[in-house]
Amino acid sequence: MKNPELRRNISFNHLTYFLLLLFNVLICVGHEKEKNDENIIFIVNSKNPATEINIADVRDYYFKIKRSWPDGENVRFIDRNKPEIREQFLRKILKKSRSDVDLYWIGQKLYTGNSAPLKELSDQSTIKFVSTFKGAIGYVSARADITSTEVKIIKLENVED
Amino acid sequence: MIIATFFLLEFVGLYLASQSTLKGLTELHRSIHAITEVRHLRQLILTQQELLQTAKLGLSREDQIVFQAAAEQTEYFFKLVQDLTKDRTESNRMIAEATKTFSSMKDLASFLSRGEGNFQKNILQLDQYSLEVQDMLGKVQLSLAQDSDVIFNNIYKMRLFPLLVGLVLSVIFLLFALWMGIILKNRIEKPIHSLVAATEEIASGNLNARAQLSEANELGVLANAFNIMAAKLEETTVSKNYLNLANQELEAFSYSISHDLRAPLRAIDGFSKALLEDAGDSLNEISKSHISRIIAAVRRMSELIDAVLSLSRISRSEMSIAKVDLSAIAHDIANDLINTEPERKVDFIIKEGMSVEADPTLMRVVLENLIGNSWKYTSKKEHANIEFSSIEKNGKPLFYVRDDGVGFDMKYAKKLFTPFQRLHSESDFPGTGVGLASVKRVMHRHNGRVWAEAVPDEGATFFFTFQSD
Repeated sequence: MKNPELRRNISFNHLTYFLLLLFNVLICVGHEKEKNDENIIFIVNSKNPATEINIADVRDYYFKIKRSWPDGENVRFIDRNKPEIREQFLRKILKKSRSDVDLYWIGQKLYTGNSAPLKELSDQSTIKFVSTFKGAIGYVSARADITSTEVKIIKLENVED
Repeated sequence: MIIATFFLLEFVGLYLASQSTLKGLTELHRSIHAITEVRHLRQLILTQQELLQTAKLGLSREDQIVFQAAAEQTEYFFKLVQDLTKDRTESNRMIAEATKTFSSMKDLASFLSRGEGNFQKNILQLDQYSLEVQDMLGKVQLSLAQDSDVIFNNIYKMRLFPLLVGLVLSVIFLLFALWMGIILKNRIEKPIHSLVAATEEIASGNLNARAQLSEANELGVLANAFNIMAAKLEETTVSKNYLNLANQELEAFSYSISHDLRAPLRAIDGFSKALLEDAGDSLNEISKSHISRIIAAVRRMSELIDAVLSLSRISRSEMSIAKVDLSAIAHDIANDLINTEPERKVDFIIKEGMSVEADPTLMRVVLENLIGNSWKYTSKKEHANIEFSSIEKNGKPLFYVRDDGVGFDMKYAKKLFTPFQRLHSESDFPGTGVGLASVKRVMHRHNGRVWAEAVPDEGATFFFTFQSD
């Protein structure tokens, strides 16, 4: 390696490869971040008079601490099986890990008899569930196609994140 | 009666004390039964849910039959659990709610099997209803388990209560029995002590003593009877003393009269005899006969006076107790009698060795009279038998003098021992009528008795004993 030009070319190539690699890594990380940051929205039955809800109430409804809406209708929460959507719900709304929530429901099952809410995989089945029960509440991807007139989006108050 | 009441009270007390425990045990049994049935319900609903999962692909005919059977059994268990939890408001309410939700679930299952309605919506509703029913039954199960814990804790806390109640009641009853015993003891002892004291007083000579009358019970009746007896004894003793005094005075008077009558009688007798000697020739036969009858009457009266004096002496004489050989006295008397009338054929049978502790002089009077009577009343028999012997009765000798003479009718037996009372005429059998009265008086002074048994023309037996019956 006594040829300085050759040595410069080799360094340039290395730098190029490094930059390409860095670019790819940044794209992947960005894509992953985009994937994880998929926003969720809450939907309720269109017959439900409520128009907005705060996070504390959502938590209480999910954990079955509160069992009815202000109008007296029974709350029927529908959870999700889809990991990226549920992850958003756990992280942003419940602020708990999945294992914490699983442990909570095991405890509830043992000491109060309460079971965890049902889970649906797709946004559409979730929408279907919400449209079925007047007191139902669920969450779907913000990009979900909500064409049904039997459900409506309920505004979430006090979003901390 | 009191003991029976104690037992009844103890039984009632223990029954009442055990009531809470028994009630708790019944409740616990109901609660555990309800928990078991809720567990069955949950299992049944789970089975139906699994069937419904299949229903997403369509229920087969067999599945429908199984679902229908499970649903019917579920309804039966709901009713059973509702009945078992009727006393537990919250659990009962949740069961009612779960029953209602299950009813909706059953309707949806029916739609599904017939392919009616929105299939996907029906499935979602079924899942949710199933979850809700399971939740409610889970809550009921937990609630009943908590109730069971509470009931069990209550039973555990109360486990010694019946024993304590039993113990307390037993102690109370024992104290009551002790108290009753003391009262009874006092009620019995007091009148008995009073009776004993009165008896001792009377025994010591105070005839005025009386027992205190207690309550109107058996002891009161006894005390009253005792007082009546004491009053009669006092009355009798006083009367007896008066009688004795009067008798003594009467005897003294009789003795005095008899003694004093002797002089005029002697004068009558003497002057009658003098009249008969001095003027006998100048008197006709009738007058002489009259004077002879006066002299005979005077002799008879003199004999009677002697008899009265003899009877008085028996009563008045001082007694000197010594061992008396009755057999020897009887032999003496028999010999004397034989000597007075040696021509008579009389066999004397006298038991040897008969003796008593008595007054020798008075006992001779007794035997003279009894054997003398036998001699007299067998006088009309060609060959007579007279027996003096004894037998033992109640550990003491009973003496008797038996003859085979004229005897007498027993209906006159009481008159025998009365002074101057005679069953036979003077002409048949001479006598003053004081002999047996003297015997009776002698035996009386010895605290003894005399009596007779006889058959007319067959003979008589006179018994005497030194015991007062």
